Amino acid sequence: MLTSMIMALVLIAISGVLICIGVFLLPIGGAPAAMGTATGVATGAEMMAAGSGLTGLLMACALYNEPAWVVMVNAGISSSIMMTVLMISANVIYMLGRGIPPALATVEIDPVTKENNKPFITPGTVGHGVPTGGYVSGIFGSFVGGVGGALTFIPMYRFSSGIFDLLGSLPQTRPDLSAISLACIAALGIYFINANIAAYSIKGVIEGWWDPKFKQIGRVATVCFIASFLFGIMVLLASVPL
Amino acid sequence: MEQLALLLLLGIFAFVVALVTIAGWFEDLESDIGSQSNPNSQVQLAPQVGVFHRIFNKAISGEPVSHGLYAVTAGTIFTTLWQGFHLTPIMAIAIACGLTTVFHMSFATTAHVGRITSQNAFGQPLFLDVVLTHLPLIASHGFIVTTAVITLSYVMYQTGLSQLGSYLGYPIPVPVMALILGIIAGSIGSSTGDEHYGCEREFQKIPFGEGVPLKHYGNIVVKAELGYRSNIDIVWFCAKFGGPVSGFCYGLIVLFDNFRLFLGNLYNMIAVNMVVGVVIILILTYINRRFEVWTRRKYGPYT
Amino acid sequence: MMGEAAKKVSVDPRTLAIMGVASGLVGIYASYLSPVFAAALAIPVMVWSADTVRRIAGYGLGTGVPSIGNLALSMGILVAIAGLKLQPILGVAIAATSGLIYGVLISRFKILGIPSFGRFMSELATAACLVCMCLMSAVAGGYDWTVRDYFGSRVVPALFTTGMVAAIFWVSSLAAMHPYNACLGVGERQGRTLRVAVVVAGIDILIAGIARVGYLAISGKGQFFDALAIIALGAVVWIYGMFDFLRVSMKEAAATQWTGIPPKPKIP
Repeated sequence: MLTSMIMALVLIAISGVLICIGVFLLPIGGAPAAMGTATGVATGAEMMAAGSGLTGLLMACALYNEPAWVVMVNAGISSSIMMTVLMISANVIYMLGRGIPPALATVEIDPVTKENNKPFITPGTVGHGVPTGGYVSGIFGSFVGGVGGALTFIPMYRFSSGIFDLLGSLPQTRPDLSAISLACIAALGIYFINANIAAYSIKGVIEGWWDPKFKQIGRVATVCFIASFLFGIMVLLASVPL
Repeated sequence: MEQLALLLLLGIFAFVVALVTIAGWFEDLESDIGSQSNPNSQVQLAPQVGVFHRIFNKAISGEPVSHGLYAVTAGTIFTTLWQGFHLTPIMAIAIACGLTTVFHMSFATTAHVGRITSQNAFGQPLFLDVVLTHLPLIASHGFIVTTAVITLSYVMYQTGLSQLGSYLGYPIPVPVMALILGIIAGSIGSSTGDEHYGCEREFQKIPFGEGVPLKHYGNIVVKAELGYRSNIDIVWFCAKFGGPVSGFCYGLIVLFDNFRLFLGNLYNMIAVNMVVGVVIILILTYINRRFEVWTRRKYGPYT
Repeated sequence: MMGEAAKKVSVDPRTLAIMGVASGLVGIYASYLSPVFAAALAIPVMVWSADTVRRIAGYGLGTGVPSIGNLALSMGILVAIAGLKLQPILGVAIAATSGLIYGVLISRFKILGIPSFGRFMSELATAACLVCMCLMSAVAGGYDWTVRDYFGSRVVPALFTTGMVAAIFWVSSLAAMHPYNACLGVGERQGRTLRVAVVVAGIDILIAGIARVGYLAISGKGQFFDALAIIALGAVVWIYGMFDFLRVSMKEAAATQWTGIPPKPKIP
């Protein structure tokens, strides 16, 4: 039982790091993007990460008795689908509602399609829309975020139902409702704690892996690891029967 | 599988997708009738640059947080009435959403009055008729969103715990599920529909075909076709494009997700889940790429 | 906007902090007698958390005020669960320490440049933990230290099986960040901001009362008197706070008119 607890702590700490990496990869524009002044989706950083990660959490709850790797991959794919459909809808409004083609601003050549973006930027703005580079970056970012959320859900749910086997499939047919509630609240908590650290360091606007702000990721991931480890101790204290 | 059970599941599936489309649609319209979230930063900035307005400045944090709040409050009251006092679900949903709307209006009033009063240094007046004429509209749009989200979480909870639970449905208690669905609705409406309000309607005097440069910030359109613009003019415009696209977006997300889950459970193979998901992502990426190329060719570079 | 001077206050932050910690702890332990004490004594703690958010956000955050509320309550609810399992006093100590470590980590790794961030985070985590513990024990029927496993036998059936813990989590987050966010602006004054905090605290207590009614009805225990008292108290605080806030705001706005045309722009 002690080895399971230590492994669960490490899993929760790793999930914190994954959530932080997910926030860095998402193309977030913040408030200026809603006015067509910045590239990316027009929401706050931690709210976008939470929104996409929670879609993955729903899928993790539906597949509660599958093996751990199945839950993680499916949660990641759910989050990716959410982000994909959202980014294409945002593009539809920019292109058909306002008439602006998507364009990056931090680099001139799009990292994925190798096209020149500079002629399409409105002068006075820092890019607009979600170009293909940001799109691909968003798919990876939300996948990693979804996996991170599932990685907190899995140990919390299993410990709260009294099962100490972390990786295999479960024999349950009826879910334990209080365990699902506790695991969802714990996952929400770990999400906000880590996404906030990442959001503070990028000041709310980031374009993808080519953005200069991406270089801070090493520093921020270390802080997220320690913070998730610390709060993971608290969360595990709640679920394990003492 | 039995014929009747399959038909019932398909019916639940269609109902869920329809409900969630309505939730997404009206979520965006509710943020336009009260000027919430990201474009609200312009309404906040306007008096500082000398542009005075008659717009309802509803600043209840961002949309995910506020819609999570209404959903979770309604979910708690619903659980109390339905599981505690054994009312029928329809009565419980109506009463829960009605009571939540009262809280909603209280938050909206404190937000508008607080923000306008804090701009007293610039001279923005506080119009009481703006507060009183917009509150019933905000309440009605919010009521529709909350009703859709609570009905959705109730249907999914019941399906998840019933005999059909191995095929469709999420076994999460109603308040937690409503919170999650409300946060997702808020982040979707905030990322898609808000751009129609912010780029197009707030800055209609800037020509179609360009983004809004920083030098125009705060200079929003305050005059309407007749008299001064209020949120009713804004929501009239955004209900034609921004609202339906947000609803469509949320509907597609829930459609694809539940489609994956349903297929995987029907054929009892997890590989089906993952393959269908990856195929959907690849198709949408390809569509986005064609769209981007078409737009760049049609509109051409900035001149 | 980073590095602005600290905001002007009419109520000393240290007084608010001492009052918050004292009333929170008294509330939890006194709820052995009746859950109404826990609910009523949670109001000063919520006002304290709103004031802490006001002091932090005054330095300029870059991501906006709502993220701070969610951060505080995430820390708070995770520690509150541990605190209700062990002892509430231990919970407060753990909250203060973890908040301090979190804040020191962020400022030591140069993620944010706000001075004394460790102290701010420690205050925020303690306030959030106390609010969550007070409201959770109010819904579960009062902190009963004679029961061997209070968390598993009282709190879990009341809050986690029904799912109502989500309501306590989220409305407390709004209680921390809505006051400053609603009064954001150049002319923001602590008096008005704390009045909004009282309004939102009233709504919180009302919702906790409804959750208690729900738990009592679902578990079939009857005897709704303390739940109705909590609801009545919440409603009174809410409505009185609302009228008081509107009266002060209408006096302090630039011009309060029933209807009219906005004045001509000063800058062409």
